[in-house]
Order: sequence, then C-alpha cells, then structure tokens
Amino acid sequence: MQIEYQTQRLSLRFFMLMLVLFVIQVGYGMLLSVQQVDPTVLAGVMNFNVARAEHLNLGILWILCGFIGAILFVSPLLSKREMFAPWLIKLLFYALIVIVLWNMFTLRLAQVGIAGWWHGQPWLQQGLEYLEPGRIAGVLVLVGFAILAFVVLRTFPPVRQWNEIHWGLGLGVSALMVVWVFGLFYVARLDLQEYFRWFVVHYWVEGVWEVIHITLVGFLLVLMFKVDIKSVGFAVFWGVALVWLSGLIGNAHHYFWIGTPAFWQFWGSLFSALEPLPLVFCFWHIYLDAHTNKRPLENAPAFYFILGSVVLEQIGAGILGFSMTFALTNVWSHGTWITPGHGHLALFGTFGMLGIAAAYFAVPIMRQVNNYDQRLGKLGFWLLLTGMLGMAFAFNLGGTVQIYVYRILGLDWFGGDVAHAMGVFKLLLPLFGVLFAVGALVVAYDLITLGRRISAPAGTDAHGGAATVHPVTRWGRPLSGFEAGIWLLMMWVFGAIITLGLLSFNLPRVRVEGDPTLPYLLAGIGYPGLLLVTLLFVWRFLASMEARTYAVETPSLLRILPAQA
Amino acid sequence: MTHRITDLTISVLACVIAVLLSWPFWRSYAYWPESHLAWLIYFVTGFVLAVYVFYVFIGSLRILFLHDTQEQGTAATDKAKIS
Repeated sequence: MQIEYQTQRLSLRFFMLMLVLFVIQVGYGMLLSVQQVDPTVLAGVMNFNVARAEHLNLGILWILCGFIGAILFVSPLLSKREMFAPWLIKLLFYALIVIVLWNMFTLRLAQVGIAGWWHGQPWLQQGLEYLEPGRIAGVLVLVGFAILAFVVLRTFPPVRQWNEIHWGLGLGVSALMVVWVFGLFYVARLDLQEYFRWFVVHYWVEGVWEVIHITLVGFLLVLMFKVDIKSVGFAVFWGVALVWLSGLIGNAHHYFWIGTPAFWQFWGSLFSALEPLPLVFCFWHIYLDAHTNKRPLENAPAFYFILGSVVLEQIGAGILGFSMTFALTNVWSHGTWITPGHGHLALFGTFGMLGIAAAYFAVPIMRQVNNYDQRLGKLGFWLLLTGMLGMAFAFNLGGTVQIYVYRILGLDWFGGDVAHAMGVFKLLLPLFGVLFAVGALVVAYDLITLGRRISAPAGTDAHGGAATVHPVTRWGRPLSGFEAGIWLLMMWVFGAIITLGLLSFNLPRVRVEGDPTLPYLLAGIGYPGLLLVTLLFVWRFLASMEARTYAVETPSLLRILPAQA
Repeated sequence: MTHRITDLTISVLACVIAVLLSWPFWRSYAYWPESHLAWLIYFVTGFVLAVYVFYVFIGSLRILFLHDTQEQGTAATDKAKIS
C-alpha cells in the first residue's frame, strides 16, 4: 500500500512521540510495582503518589498521541483530500510536547505541596486523580483538542457526504473537546468536584474513546481486509449507538460511593450491566470482517494488535467491568486492587493496543517499507499481552485478598497487615511488569527503527519467518463462528464466576463470620480461568489467521498436511 | 414476528437479572420520600429503557450476521461466474 496524501505523514511524529511516552510510562509503572513491594524505594525522591500521578497522566497522554496519529492518518483517506492547515497540526505536536513536559514537571510539585494558587485556581497542579495537572495544562489541552477537532472537521467533506465513519470520528473529536471542559471547573465542595472529574475520565473512556475506537477499528479493517464499507458503517453506527444507549446512563456506577444521590444505584447498576453489549458487538464485527476473505495477513503485527485491542476490551472493560459495577459488588471492590485489574486491561488493552495497531499499519506505509521483518512486532505483542494478563491476574487476586483483609476483617490499612496478606501478589506485579516492559521496549525499538534496519532476510516470507516453518496443525485450522462463540461463552462463564465471587462478600457467612472460602475459591477459579482462556483464544484466532499465509503460499502442501494431522 | 417475541423475551429476562443484581440498594426511597409515584416512574422508565437497549443489541447483531451471510453468498456467486 502506498501513501496517498502527503499530509498523512504528519501522523508519524505523533506515533513516535506515543512510543517514547509509552516507554516512560511503563518505567513509572515498574517503579510503582517495586514501591508496592518495598515502600522505601526512592521515598522522598519520587514518592509513590507522584510516580502514580505521572503513570496515570502519561498513560492518558500517550494513548491520545496514538489516537491523534491514527485520526490524522485516516482523515485524508476519508476526505479524499489533503489535511486542512497542516501548520496547525505541527503546532499541535509541539504544544503536546510542552503539555507533556509541563505535566511531568508540575506533578512533582505535589511532593512539596505546591499547587500555585492564583485567583482561587490551582494553576500548577491540582491533585485530582487522573486530572492532577493544574489549570495551565488544562487550558492548553483544551486548545489542543480544539485544534484537532477544527482540522479534522475542516478536512472532512460537507456533512451531507458523510458516511458512518465520518460521523463516528467527527463526533469523537468534537466530544473529546467538549467533555474535557468539565475538567476545567473548580468547585469547592469535594464531592461535586469528584462528580465532574468522573465526567471527564469516564465519559471520555466509556463514551468518547469507545466511539473513536469502534470507528478506527472499523476503518482499519476496511483498509486491511477490503471489507465492504457499508457493512462496516452498519457496525460503526450500531456500535456507537449501543455505547451511548448503555454508557451514558451506565456511567452512573461511578456515582455510587462518592456522596451523590443514592437513586443512581438502580439506573447505574441496570445500565452498567448493558455496557458490555457494544463490546460483544465489536467482537463479532472483527471476527466477521477478518473472515470476509481468506487472504493472508499482509501486516500481521497490525492485525495482532487490533485483535488484542478488541479481545482485551471484551475482557478488561466488558467482563471485569461488568463484574464490579453493580452496587452489590462495587461496594466491596471500589478503590481496591480489583479496580486497576480492570483498568489496566481496559485502558491499555482497548485504547493502547489500538494506537500501537494503527502505528504498525501506518509506519511501514509512511516509510515505504513493503516487506519488513514482522517477527519483532509479533514478539512484542505476545510479551505485552502476556505481561498485561499477568498483571491483571496479580491485581485481581491481590484485590480479592485486600477486600477480605481490609474490608471484611477491618485490619489496619497502613499498619502492614494488608501488605503482608497481599505479599505474593505484590511480588507478581513487578515480575509480569518486567515481561510487559520488555514488550514495550521491543515494540518501541521495532517501530522507531522500522525501515531503517535490513528488511526481511532473503529466503523468508513476508512475516520474517522461514517459509517452511509453519506447520499446519489443528490449532491453525480455520476458526468458525460457532467456535468463536464457544470461546466467548467460556470467557463469560468465568466472568460470571468472578461476579459471584464478588457477590459472595455480601453473605453473612463471609461478612459476619469471616469465612473467606467462597470468595477465595470463586476468585481462584474465575480470574486464572478467564485470563488463560483469553490467552488461548487469541493464540487460536491468530494461529488460524497465520495458517492462511501458509495455505496461500504453499497450496500443494495444504492439501496434504490436514490429512496427516 | 417470532423473532421479535423471542428478542423481547430474552431482553426482558436479561434486564430482570440486571435488576435483581441491584436489588437492595434502591429501596430506601431516600430522595423522593414524599412521592412513591416518582420512584415508580423512575423504576419503570429505567426498566423499559434497558429492555429497549438489549432488544436493539440483539436486532443489530442479527443484521450484522445477515450482512456477513449475504457477502459470502455474493462472493460465492462471483467465484462461480469466474470459473
């Protein structure tokens, strides 16, 4: 595939910035996991709360970089013309660097208690979780989003010519800016401030980013598999509709325990239960699109990460999100390690993997590399996927112990009782973190140097592997819709076990008598089962896709080997 | 028609389960204590909206699969024409 519009190249710098920020963010994550084991590490130099703020903020910023890169790459293709005002995009890039540096510097002021108050506003840092930076960063971010929305909307053709993909991206970039405005309020009452903070964080994630995600996944699949754009348009339309039908009210599960009216608990629980529906829809959408033809994967890492994005969205946002958003389960799980278990899989899985997928799709095209060694990309994917699933495993099982020790037994939070009980899982976190960090370095190195290294060595296929090393096994046979449905069902069965485990904390046997057998047993079956099934399903799906390469390139062998299997 | 009845039944059942999972937390009538009618409208509206969302989901998923079947049918016809 050749680049069609020169302004698409502007996306490259955003992808590169994304990779740099991703690696730094993972570095902060590693530090946090070590500080969980030994809280004295870098105490006074880089305190846990500051490192955590950096980790969270950089997480949002690098994912936004990926989104901006992907949107800039596809916008000229959707508009069939060059990007409007490329100088504004260049300005946006430098503004983004300023925001990142400003953020990283001012968040450290939290350690010495400086917020830079002026005219009743915290200009340097405000300390609200996820929205830690001060007003100056907030205003700059708003200007940045305004530039992005303006350029994308001016690049698009007149509204009457829009299809569903234009609508998805158009609504996405506009809503990105509008929702951010809620983060600029400062309200003296902390509960009301929390209310608006959650507007930004969760209407972004569950309302706006989901819309951009569905749209970008749809368009990337159109580009990769030559899928009928009308079918993708249908999927994008109903995906967006279901996100908003369920998510706009379902977001009320964040209002349960922050001092907001109790009536949210009914609608919040009810509509939260419906929030996985668009994710199930997206799951089937990618399965069907990937199977519209049986052509081999031209760009395997790009598809690996798209699939990873949709599957981890199903697991992290869908199943683990479902299990903990009822008032009855959330009362135990909120604010414990159960939350980052869900959050890491949902945020990195859904949005981070999509940014990396878009980079893997766009960078070879922009660097004019037709045949690159795809082994590093695949290795990076497996390291990131396994590392993230492992971290989710540690977070969730650690969180289950935490609920029991901290909330049921009521032992001292800071006294070390909880830390001792969670010890094994606190140790697992940096171990899987190392795996993830290596994956992040591999992906960053691969993408940054792509096209500058020697491409696929002679005698290898387009994926960098020797042409004769792909055995066609039963694991690589075509994946039917029925089988995909069974895998999905298995994931949800484990999800149901996890949900029952959290619900069991309400039983008098656990809550009054202090018997942890049932929640521990259900969590011990549910979490490892879910994460293992996820890993196996991704392996199975990708093996079936990889077998296509073999089938097309060596048709004669294909006829022989299945009979032997 | 059968489809619609089946979809509606599944939607209602799914939403009943969702309601049961939120059971103990909305019975306090704490915020509209003077008006049980307001609570009733709130419950019924929420339930009907939720059933609608689930119903839309099933319907759109069915059409998604129909698209796929049609595309495969078209591809098979094209292939037959070429051969």
